Amino acid sequence: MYISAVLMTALVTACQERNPAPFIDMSGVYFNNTSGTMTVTDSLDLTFVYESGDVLEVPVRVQLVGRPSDEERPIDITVDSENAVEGEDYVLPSSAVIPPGAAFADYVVTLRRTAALKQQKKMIRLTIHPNAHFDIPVTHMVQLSDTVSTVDFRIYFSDMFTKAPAAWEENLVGEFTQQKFELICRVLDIEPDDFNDPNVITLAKLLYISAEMTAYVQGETERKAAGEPYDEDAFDKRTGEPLTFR
Amino acid sequence: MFILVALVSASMAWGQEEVAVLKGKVIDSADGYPLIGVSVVVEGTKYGAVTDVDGNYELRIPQRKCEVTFSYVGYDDEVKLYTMKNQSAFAKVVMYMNAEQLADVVVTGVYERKKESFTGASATFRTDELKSVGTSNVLQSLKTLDPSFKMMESTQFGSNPNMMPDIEIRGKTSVAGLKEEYGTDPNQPLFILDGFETTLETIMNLNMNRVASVTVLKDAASTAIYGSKASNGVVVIETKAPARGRLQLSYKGDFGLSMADLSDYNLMNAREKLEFETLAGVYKDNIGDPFAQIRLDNLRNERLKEIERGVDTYWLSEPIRPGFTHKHNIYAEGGEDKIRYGIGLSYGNVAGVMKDSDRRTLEGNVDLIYRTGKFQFSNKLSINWLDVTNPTVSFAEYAYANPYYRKYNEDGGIDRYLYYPEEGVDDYPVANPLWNAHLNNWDTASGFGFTNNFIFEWFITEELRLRAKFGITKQDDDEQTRISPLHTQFDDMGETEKGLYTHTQIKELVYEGDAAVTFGKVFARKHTVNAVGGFNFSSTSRRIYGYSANGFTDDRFDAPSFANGYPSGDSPDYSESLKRAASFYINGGYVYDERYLLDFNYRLDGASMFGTGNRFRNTWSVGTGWNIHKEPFMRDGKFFSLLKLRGSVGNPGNQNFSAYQAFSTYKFNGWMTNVFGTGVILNALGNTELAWQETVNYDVGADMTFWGERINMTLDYYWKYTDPLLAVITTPGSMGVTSIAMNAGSQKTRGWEATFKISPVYRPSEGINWNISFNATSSQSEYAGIGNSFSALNENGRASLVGTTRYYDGGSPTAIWAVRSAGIDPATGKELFIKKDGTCSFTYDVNDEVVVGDTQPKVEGVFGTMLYFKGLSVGCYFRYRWGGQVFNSSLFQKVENIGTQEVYNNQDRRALYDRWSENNREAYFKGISLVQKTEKSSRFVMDDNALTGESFNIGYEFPDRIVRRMRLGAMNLQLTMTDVFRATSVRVERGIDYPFARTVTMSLGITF
Amino acid sequence: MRRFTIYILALAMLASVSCDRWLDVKPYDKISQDELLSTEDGFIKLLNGIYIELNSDMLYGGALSVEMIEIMGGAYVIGTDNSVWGNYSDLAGYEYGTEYWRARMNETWNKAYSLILNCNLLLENLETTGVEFSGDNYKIIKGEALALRAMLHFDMLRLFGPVYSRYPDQLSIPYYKQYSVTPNELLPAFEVASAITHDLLEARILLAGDPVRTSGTMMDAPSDGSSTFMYYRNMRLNYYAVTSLLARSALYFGDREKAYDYSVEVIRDAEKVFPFVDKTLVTGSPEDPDRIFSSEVIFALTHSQRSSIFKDYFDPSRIPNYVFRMDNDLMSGIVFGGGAMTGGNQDDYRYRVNWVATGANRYFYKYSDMNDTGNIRNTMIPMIRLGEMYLIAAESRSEDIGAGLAYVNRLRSARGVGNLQTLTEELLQYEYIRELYGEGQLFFMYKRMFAPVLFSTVDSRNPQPSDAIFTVPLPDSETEN
Repeated sequence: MYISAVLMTALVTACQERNPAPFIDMSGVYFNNTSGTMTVTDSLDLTFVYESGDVLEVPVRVQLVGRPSDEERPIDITVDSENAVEGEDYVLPSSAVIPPGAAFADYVVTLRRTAALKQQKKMIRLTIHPNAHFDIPVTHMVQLSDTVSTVDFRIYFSDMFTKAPAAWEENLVGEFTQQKFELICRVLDIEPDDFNDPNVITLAKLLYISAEMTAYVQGETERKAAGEPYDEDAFDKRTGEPLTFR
Repeated sequence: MFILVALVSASMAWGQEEVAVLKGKVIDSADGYPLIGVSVVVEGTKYGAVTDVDGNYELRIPQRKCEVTFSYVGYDDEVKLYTMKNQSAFAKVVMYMNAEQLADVVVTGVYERKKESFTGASATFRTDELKSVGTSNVLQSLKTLDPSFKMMESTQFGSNPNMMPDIEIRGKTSVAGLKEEYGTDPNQPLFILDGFETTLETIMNLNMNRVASVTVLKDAASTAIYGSKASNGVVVIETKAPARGRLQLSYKGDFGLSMADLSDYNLMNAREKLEFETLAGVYKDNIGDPFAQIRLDNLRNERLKEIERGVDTYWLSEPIRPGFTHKHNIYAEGGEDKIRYGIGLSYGNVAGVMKDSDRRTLEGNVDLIYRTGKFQFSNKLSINWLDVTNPTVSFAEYAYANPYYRKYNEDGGIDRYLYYPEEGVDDYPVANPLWNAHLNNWDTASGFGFTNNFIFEWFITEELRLRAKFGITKQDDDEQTRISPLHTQFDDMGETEKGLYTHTQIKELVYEGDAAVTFGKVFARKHTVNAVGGFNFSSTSRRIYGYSANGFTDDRFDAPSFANGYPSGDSPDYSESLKRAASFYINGGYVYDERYLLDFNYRLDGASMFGTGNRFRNTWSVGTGWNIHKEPFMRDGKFFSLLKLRGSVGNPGNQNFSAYQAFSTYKFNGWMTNVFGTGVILNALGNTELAWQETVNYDVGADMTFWGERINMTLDYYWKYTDPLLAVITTPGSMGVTSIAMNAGSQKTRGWEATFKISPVYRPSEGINWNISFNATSSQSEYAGIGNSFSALNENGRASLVGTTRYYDGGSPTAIWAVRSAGIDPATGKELFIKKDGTCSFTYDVNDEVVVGDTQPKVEGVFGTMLYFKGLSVGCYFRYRWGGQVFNSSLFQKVENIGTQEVYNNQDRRALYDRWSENNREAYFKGISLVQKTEKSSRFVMDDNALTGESFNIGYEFPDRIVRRMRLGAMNLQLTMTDVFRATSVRVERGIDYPFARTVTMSLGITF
Repeated sequence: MRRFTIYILALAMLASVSCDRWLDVKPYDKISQDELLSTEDGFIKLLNGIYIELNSDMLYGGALSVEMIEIMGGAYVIGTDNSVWGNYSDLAGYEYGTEYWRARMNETWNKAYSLILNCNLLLENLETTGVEFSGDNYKIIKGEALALRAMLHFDMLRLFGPVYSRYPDQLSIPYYKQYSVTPNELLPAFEVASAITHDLLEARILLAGDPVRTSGTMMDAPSDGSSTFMYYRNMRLNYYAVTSLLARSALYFGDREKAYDYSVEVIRDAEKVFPFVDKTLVTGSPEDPDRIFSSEVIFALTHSQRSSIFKDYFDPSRIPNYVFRMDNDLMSGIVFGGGAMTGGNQDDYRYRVNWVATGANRYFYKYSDMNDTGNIRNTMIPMIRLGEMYLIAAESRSEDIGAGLAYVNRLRSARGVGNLQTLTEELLQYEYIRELYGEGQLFFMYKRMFAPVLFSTVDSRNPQPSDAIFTVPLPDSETEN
C-alpha cells in the first residue's frame, strides 16, 4: 500500500490545472501604422497643400512584441532617401527608444516645406534593424486586401495634389487641377483645408463657386482681350485657355 | 476404438513372465465421474491397458514389485506401487485435474491448450478475479485487469448506460469515417460467447455471474484461428457449465447507487455571466441608435435587478438524479450420471444519473449437457428482453441555460421561454429546457431475442474428437422517439408540421455452424501433438425499416394515428444487408519434451462482401516458444516455476465493412418519365477489385513466474503492418463518381505491454495472500503510402472548427495537427503564430499546420493491490496516463470562440478571468470579443496526464461454520466503488450530452 | 479410422463447391447491376435513364442550352444591379474564377462524366451479356450509347478544351472508354477529336438500320400499345442526328471537306424526313404557332416540364426579376433589321414567331408552350436542327466562304425572306444567331471562328476573342489528384 500512496501523491502534484502556455519570452519591434480602417499600411502620402504652416510632424508607430520592460530600450532605425536631404527636407528625432513600461513608441519625423516640393515628390524610407534589445520576429503582415511590410516604412511628401479633396464634385466644378483650386482659394478667400470636409464645402456652395469663378474668368478674358492687365492664373498655364468651372 | 485394444493385447502376449490380471476403475476427483481412455502402464514393461467407457480396466501385470502409472490428458499422472498384495488398492483409482488451475489453460473458443504449450500472447481471467475488480459488466472489469484492452471514454456520452463504448485492442487499424450507423465499428474486436460470434451489446447485457472465464487474444498466433475477423483482437467469454451433483441453487444480487460527477463543469454564476456579457458588448448598440441603446440598458437593468434579488439558478441539478441500480441472478444447477442441467434467470435494472435514463434487461437461460458413452450433447438457450428509455433533453441544454433566469415564474408554472425578444428586435430567443423536459416526449427502445447454441461432441478415441456446433440468434429491436408539438424547436413551423414521431424496427438473424475434428496425443512421452481442423459458415442478415410522421396537434395524444402527415419530401427508409462467410481452418501445435513449442494456423476465408475478383482470402500464423524452465539445467532449481519465451507472426484480416461495397447498384430517376417510359441511372459504383484489408502482426513475448509463484510477469513487444488500408477516397469528377471505396496507403503500429504481479505474502493454504499488480502499455502508429488520396478528409478536417486529425504519410492517426502559436503578444493582445519555416506572423495560415502533439499517451496502465485474509478481500486499483496531449476543445470553444449566438449560453468561468487587457498583459486568453474568431493553434494543446481511482472494493466470504448453521452452501458480500476520483492535468468539460458518474455497488452472493 | 477421414474429406469438397455460389449475395433494397441487365428491358431502361438525365438543369435542361452557355455566347443583355442579376454579371465578364462559377462548372463537368460512366457501363455489359435482343434493338442501343458518349465528350471538349483551331495539341480533357478504378489522364485535343469521330462513325454503322430512314420520325405512339422504343425517333440520337453530329464536329475540328459531305448528305436524305416547317403552322396560325419549328428538329430531348424553362428565364411577367432577352438595338439594328447589309428582316418567320413585344422590349417566346399542352412538341428541347446543316454546308463548301451562298439563300427562302447577294463570315454569324438563338451553340461558334462575341451594337462593348474567355478552366478535382 505504501508504494502506491507515494506514487499517487507524486502524480497528483505533477498535473495541477493547466492553462494555455504563456507567451514565449521574446522581445521584438515592428512598424504598426494603421490607416483609418484598422488595416496596417507601409507607406504614407502627405501633401503640404492643405497645410498652412511649413512644417509637418509625422508620428511613425513602432510596436513592441513581447513584454514591456521597466527600463528604456533603444531601437535601431535608419532613414535614407534618394531625393531628400536630412536637416533640409526632414528632421529626425534625437533618439529612438521604447520608453519604460510602454508597448509602443512614436518615432516623430518632421518634414519641411521647400519650394522644390511644388514640382517634385520626395520620399524617405525608414527601416528597423535588430539590435541587442530587440529582434525582428514579424517581417510583414498578410491582410485580406494586401500584404504589407512591417520593417520598412516609406513617407512620400510634396506640395502638390495627390488626389482631389473630398468635397470636390467634378460634375459641378469641372475636372480638378491644382491651378483651379488655388485660384478659387485666392479669389473667394476659402481655406484650402475646408475642401477636405464635404459638410463645409456643400453642394450648394460648389454651385456658387462655379458661377462666381466662371464670371471671374469671363471678366479676366475681357480684360485680356482689351489689353488691360489681367490675372494670368485665370488661364491654364500650359494651354493658355481660360479655366472652366463647369 | 476396436483397433486400439487389439494392438495392446498383441503386445502383451510376448512376455514369458508369470503374469496376473489386475482389474479396477478410474474416476475423476472433481465429480467422481468415470474417466474414459486413461492409459494404465506398468513401468519398464510393455504391459498396458486403457480404461473402457465405464472407466474399468484389465491390466496383465507381472507378479513382482513394480510401479503402475495412470496418465490422462489434463490430469496429473497417478503412480501406484504394486506389491502383489495390494490388489484392493487398485480397485478404485482417483485422478486429480492438473495442479494448474483453469487459468493455465488457454481457452481460444475453438480449442483449449495448456498455457505452457501455447505460443500466442493472451491473458485469461477467472470469474472471481473479474468480480473482485468490479461487478457492473465483464468488459468494465477487463478494462482494469488487462492493459491492452482499452475502453474509450466518450466525452460526449459520459456514463449513458444505453450508449455502447468504443473498444480497441492494441490501437486502431482502420481509417475513421467508415463506421456505419447500425453496422459495426471497423476497429472493434471480435467477441466470442461460448464458441459463437456475438455482438458488443450482448456482452454488455450479460450478467457477470454467468461468466466462467474471459480470455483476451492479442497477437496473430492466438487470433489467426478466427482468420478474417480477428485483426482487431478477440475477446473469448465462456459461461459456466453446470456442475454435476445434487441440485444447487445460487442467488447473486448487486445493488448500486451512482451519483453524477460534475467536477469538470466550471460554469459562471449569475453575476459573472452578466459582467461577461457587458464586457463582450452585448448591451452596447454598435450602430449608435439611441432607441436600441435604451432597450439594451433596460434589458441589462432587468437582469441586474433579478441578480440583486438573489437569483442565481443552478441548472445542472435539474436533469440529474441518484441512479439506483439493482441486478439479480438466480441459477439452479445439478445433474446425475448422464445429464447436467442449469436454469438461470437474471434481471437487471440500471438507472442512469439523468432522469428518464433507464436500461431494464431480463434474461432466462437453460443449459443442458447430456453425455452417454462417447457422445456429448450440450445446448445453451438464452432468451432476453430489453427495455430502454433515454432523456429527450440533452444535459448540454441545462449547461447552456443562464443562471440569471428563474426556473419557475411567480405562480410556480414553467415559462416556455426564458427570454423572448420584443417585436421587431432580431435577437435569439432562449428556450427553457424545463419546458421541453416537462412535455410528453419520449425516446424509448425495446428488444427481444433469443440465442440457441447446440454443440455435439463425439469422443471417438482418447486422442480424436469430433465437435459439431450450430448457433442461431434472432434479435428484434424497436426504437420509437416522439417530440411533442409544443417543443420550442417547432416554433417557426406551420401548424400542421409540428411534433415528430419516428419509429424504426431492426430485425436481425444470425446463424453460424462449425464442424471440427480435434486430435491430441503424446507420442513416446516426448512429442505432444495437438491439431484441429474444421469448416465454419455464418450468415448475418439485418433489415432496418422505419418511418417518421409529424403534424401532431396536442401534447397528450401521442399515438402515431394522431399525426396528420409525413414530413415533406421524406420517404420511409428501408435498408437490408445480408453478409455471408464460409471458411476452412487448420490449427496445429507440436511440443517437444514440454520445452520447444511450435504452433501454426491456416484459414481460408470467403465473405460475400468482397468483390468476386478476390472473395477468398487466406490468413496464416506461425508461433514458436521455448519453455526454458523445463530445460534440464533449470529443472531442479525451484526458483523458476515458469520461464517461457514466445514469438509469433501472422496476418489476420478485418471483415467489419459494409455489405455491398463491391456491387454497382442503380435507382429509378424518379424526377421525370418520358414518352419511352421510366429510366434507371447508376446509384453507387461498386469496386470489384476491392481487396481485403491486410494486417501482418509480429509479436515477441516472455512469461515468467518465479520466486515460488510469488512473482509473475508478462512482457510483450509487437509491431503491426496494415497494408492496404480501406477508405473512401476522393476521385476526379471525370471518373463519373466523386468518391469511391478504395484500398490505399498503409499503417505501421509498434507497441509494448508489460504486466507485473508480486505477492509479498503468499500462503494460499491458510487463505492469506497479498499481491500488488502493475501493468503498462504504450504504442505509436504511422501512416505510409497515402499520397493525397485522403485530401477530402483533410480538407473538411481543416475546415471544421476543432478538426485536428489529418491523413498524411508519416503522420500518426492520433496526431494533433495545428499551427504552432507563440502565445498572446502582451504588447497588442494579438496571437502570434509561428510559421512552418520558423518565422512569425500575426495572420493564421492553415498551410503552416504541423504535428503539435499526440493523443496517444507515452505510457498508460493500471496499478493496484489486493489483500485476501481468511475470506476478507480488500483491493484498490488506480489507472494512470502519462505523456499524451489533448486539444482542449471545451476551452477553445467555451472561452475564445463565443460568437453572437453562443454568448446567450452560459460559459466556462475562465472566459471572464485571465483575459488580455491593457493592465492584464500576461493573460492566457485574448481580449473578450464576439467578432474575433480564434483558429486552432498549439496554444490549446495541453499535456494530458491523469490519475484516476478506478475501483475500490471490500469483500467477505462467510466461513463454513456460519454458513452451515444458516443451512446455506456459501455466502459472500462485496462492496465496490468505481471512478472514485480523477486527478487530471487538463480540465476538459466531460460528459457534454450526458454527465459521468461515480458508482457504489454492494453485491451479495448466496448458494443454497 | 480411414473410413472416417475419407468421409470428412468428401464433406469438405462438397462444401467448397457450393460455397462460392452461397457467397453470391445480391442486395434486395437496391437494383443490383446483374439483376437489372439480365433482361433487354433493363438495357432499354438504362438507355432511357441517360436520356432523361440529359434534361438535368446542369446539362441541357438549363446550363448548356439556355442559361450559362448562352450568356457566354452574348445572347442576352445582362444588367449590373447584382441584387437582380446576381452572379450572371460575373459570367458576362467571363470571370470563371469566382466561387459560384467554379462550383457551377464543376457540377456540369461531374454530371456529364457521370452520364459518360453510365454509357460505358451499358456498353460493357452489352459486350458480355447473353441476353437475346428482339429485332435490331442490340445495334440501336449500342449505336445510341456510343453516340451519347461521343456527344457528351464533344460538348466538354468545346467548353473546357482549347480553341481547337489555334492549339489542337494542347492538353484538354480525358476520354473515358470503359469503367476504370484509376483516373485517365488528360489527352491532347486532337486525340479527343479522333476518339469522338471514331465513336460517331461506329454509331453510324450500327444505326444503319434505323427506321427513321424508311418510315420517318413516327411522331405518334403505336396504336396496338406495344413498346414505344422504336418510335419518336427524333427524340433519340437517330441515324441522321449522328450524321449531323459528324458534320458539326468535323467543322469544329477544321475538316472542311468531311463537314460538307455529311451536311449535304443530311440535307439531301432528310428533305422528306425533316421538312422545313409548314408555313400555315407558323404565319398561318399567329395565335398558336409551332415556335420550335418542330418538323425541322433532327434530334431533341423530351423534357416533361419544359415550360419551366420559359417561366424561369424568358417570361416577361418575371420583371422585376431578371429576364433573358436580346439587346433591342442589336435586334432591330442587325439581327432582324439592317436590310441587305445584315440580312436582317422584320418579316422573318423566326422574328414574327419567336419575338413577342410587351411594352418597349421584345421577349423570346421559343420555349413557350403551344395551346395543346399534351402535345409532345411542348416537351422538345432542340439539340440539332436542319437549319444548322444548311449553315455548315454553306461555310464548308469551299475555302472561299462566298461559294456557300446558295445554301444560305435556300434556308432564308424557308424563312420567308429574300436572298443575300454575297456571303461573308459576319453575315454567316448573323444567320447563326437568327437560326440557333437560345439553343446553346453561339458561344461554340465564336470560339470556333475565334471571332468577337456579338453582345451589342457598340463595338467597344463586344468582348474581343482571347483564350482566356473561350477556355473554361478545368474543375479543381481534376487538377488536384
